[in-house]
Amino acid sequence: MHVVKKQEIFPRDPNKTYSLMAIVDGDSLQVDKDPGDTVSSWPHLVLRELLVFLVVGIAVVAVSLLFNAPLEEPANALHSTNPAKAPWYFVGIQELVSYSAFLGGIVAPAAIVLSLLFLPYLDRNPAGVGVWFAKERRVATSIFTVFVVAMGILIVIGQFLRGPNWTLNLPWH
Amino acid sequence: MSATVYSIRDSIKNLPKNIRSSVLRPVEGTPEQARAAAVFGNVFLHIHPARVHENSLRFGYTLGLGLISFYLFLILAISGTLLMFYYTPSTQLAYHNMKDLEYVVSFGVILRNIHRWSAHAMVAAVFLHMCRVFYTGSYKAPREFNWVVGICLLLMTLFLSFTGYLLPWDQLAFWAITVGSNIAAYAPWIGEKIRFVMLGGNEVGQMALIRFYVLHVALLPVAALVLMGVHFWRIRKDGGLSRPADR
Amino acid sequence: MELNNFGGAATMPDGLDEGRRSFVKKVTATTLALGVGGIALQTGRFLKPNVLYEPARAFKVGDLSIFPIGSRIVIEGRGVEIVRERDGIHAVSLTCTHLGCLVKQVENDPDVAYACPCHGSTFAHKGEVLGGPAPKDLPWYEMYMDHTGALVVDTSKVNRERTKLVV
Ligand code: HEM
Ligand code: FES
Repeated sequence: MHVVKKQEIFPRDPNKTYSLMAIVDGDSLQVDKDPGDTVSSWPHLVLRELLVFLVVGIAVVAVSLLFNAPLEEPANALHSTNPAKAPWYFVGIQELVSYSAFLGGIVAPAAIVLSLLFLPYLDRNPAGVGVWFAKERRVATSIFTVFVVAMGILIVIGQFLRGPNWTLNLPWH
Repeated sequence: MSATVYSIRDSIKNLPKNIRSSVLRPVEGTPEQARAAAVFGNVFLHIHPARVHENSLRFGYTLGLGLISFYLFLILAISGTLLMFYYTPSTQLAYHNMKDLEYVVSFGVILRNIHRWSAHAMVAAVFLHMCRVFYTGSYKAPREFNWVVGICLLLMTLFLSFTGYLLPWDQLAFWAITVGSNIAAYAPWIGEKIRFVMLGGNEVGQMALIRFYVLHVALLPVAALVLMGVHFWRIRKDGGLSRPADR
Repeated sequence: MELNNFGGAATMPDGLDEGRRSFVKKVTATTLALGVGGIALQTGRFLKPNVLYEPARAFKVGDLSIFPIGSRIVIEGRGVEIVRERDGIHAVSLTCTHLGCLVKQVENDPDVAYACPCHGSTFAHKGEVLGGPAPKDLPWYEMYMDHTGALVVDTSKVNRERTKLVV
């Protein structure tokens, strides 16, 4: 008789995760045993997600009831607003642009985006996954914090300290 | 043969139950099996695995920021679609439409507020989510590519905000886009061409408004949605959320 | 014959139609590349408008008599200022060379004639940059008098020599 060699279509891989795709009749060796440290998604995960949704929804509606979105005069190509500010998340870039349009507007954003895109391929240090501010990653954590704080400072300067004609108005003056 | 015998009376009597079971596809079995079925038998929930690691539930680990970003996107999609019923992308009408939303459309002003504030919040949430992923080292192998997808999502979020900013056609909008498009013109070689194609002309006018509108309501949201699909799919294929090594 | 995972034949008789296969592969790849490249190119062309419904770049600003000697008059909506001095007349662009805001005239200042509200660039009377991030001086545009005697400014032509129109 012709014997078909049994071949594993998907080779066993210790790094794979397995997920439940269907329920079939019959018992398996795993009956009454939980895969360690896991809980069923329903209800543990799904209810928490629902809770987050409620909080987000209520917060958004509450803010919208309290504060109106700004609407200025109709667009007028004859008069620039003074000062003309970008939305807050671009105001940091605008602050850089007010020193040099090319360096601040093209070079700096391109450098930021490119270094973020390549970050996981540059930082190959495998240590410190799954822990906030892992000790093994001090250098990476510090560099990234400098970037975040710098963005924050630029945004605060641009948003709150720049007045008409883009002059610096320190609040204690 | 009794199974095939049915009466119209029984059908009517069992109508609610039959409709319910046809929609929900209930699975009979142990409680554990029923719970699993509740997740993978539902098209909206089957994005989740049947079981998740306890660490993924720790709010202090993710701060829920990715989820919050996604929810804000949903809120924006819904409120934005409603705003489209009253908005015309025309330099003559756009500003008046905004005023109408504010003063004559029922709940128009709230809808507009929801859309505007969620947009601001989404930029913040996505940025903070990126920070959480960085500080927990969650971009390391095998999750490098999902980080890259995430950066693309960050860019999509920023582009969505930028294109939306022009639509009210007020002073804030006009001059912010004038300045923004002139920044693009500083790019070497192709800067001027980028600006021309982006604005559909030499100045911020009708052509620029309709271009930004199409990007804002069609192209960018669809791109963002597709990227989110990839993002979520990759989370599962990369073995669920990152977590500290088992001890 | 062995079967592979997909139920097809795992191996073909060696070398039988390698040539034909690679030919088909090349044709397919070329067609695909041409098609996708062509579509991308045409989409780019499509997005570049051929007709612009914008105001003409050359426009009349009026008769010489509305610009008395010593006056600096802003042409509303055009972003230019007409400066008439004893030795001639010229048109200065009011669009900031930094990022395109409209510069404002500064009154009663011996040096600074224009200031930009957006990022604070300042310009001298002839349009030279004095301070701020602006990389270039405010350009002068070509000016001429047409056959009816009206003054015309052509913003598509920059007057690089900064020559005044003698009238
Ligand atoms: C529209 C924007 C985004 C949405 C809706 C989104 C959504 C999500 C969600 C729901 C999760 C699950 C965990 C959590 O809630 O934190 C997640 C995880 C993740 N996100 Fe995002 N995300 C977005 C942008 C980003 C950005 C900007 C990055 C980074 C550059 C990023 C990188 C990642 C990575 C690497 C994971 C896996 C984290 C882990 O395994 O611990 N995502 N994302
Ligand atoms: S646009 Fe004039 S200084 Fe920036």
